[in-house]
Amino acid sequence: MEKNQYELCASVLRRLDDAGVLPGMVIIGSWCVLFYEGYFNTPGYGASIRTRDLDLAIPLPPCFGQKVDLAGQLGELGFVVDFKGRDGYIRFLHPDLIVEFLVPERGRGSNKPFDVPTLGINAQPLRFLDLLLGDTIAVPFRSVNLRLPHPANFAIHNRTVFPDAPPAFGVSALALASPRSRKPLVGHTAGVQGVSRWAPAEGVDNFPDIPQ
Amino acid sequence: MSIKGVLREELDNSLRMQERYEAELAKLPKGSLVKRQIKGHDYYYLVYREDGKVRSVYQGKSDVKEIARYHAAKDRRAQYRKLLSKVKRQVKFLRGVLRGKEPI
Repeated sequence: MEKNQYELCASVLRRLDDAGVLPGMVIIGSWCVLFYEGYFNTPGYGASIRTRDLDLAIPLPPCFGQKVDLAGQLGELGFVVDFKGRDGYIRFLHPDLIVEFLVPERGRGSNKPFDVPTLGINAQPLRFLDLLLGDTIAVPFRSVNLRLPHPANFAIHNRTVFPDAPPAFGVSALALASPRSRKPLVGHTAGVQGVSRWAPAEGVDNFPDIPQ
Repeated sequence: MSIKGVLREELDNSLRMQERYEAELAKLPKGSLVKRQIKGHDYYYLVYREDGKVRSVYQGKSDVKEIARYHAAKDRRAQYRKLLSKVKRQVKFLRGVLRGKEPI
């Protein structure tokens, strides 16, 4: 990974933390695999390739105490505001990083962006996101505390949404191998069963066995 | 998604980025604010190029806020130009990769 990209990501997270909004967000997507390093502490942990997208999920209802000009904060780092697609989902563009915001889609769902007025942004509703946000862990990264989905949830979500993809960017295999996460994973058997109620059959069938 | 699909998406993102940076650059105030000392007093001039010539427009004594605005715009312009140049390199690279006829 480019050093610039890593440093820029760290700067973005630091800005969000300074503004007091980072505790109200959960990092998802390929970037959180990198940050699991601080949780597993497994020698030889190799995070897989990351995309340029830094996905930040906002649990509902959003709880941000004060108004923050996120566009201004990220603008100082060289990000420009862009509105994606016909529905106009906001995203912040930089040659090294694209910051996007997501919220869980519930009920019948809607294609309309979900407004977060305290941050002056909107977020894209995404199905099955509750699975990631239902159980989060805190991982230290430099001087900030990041909220990430529990690796078990991440692995299940990945297998559900991308049944043909390699197992959770390697996280599920690592989670199963790591002594630290074995116990939580066993505890997530109920979660796996819960997913099987609504997940595509092919996604669940391929999920690796949980060690006892 | 195939690797080619991912690269195509990245190219679309970079092209969009290029467009956005160019739009942001166009929005910034043109030229630089320069200070000239005349008979012990500071006066400000907006200096910019137009039709291949350097033009200097008198701005008066200019307040601190206005001066700060021009300085901030100057820094922002330099930042955007640097990033725009990076985006253009990315576009060139991605177009080159996608031009290959072999399936990836």
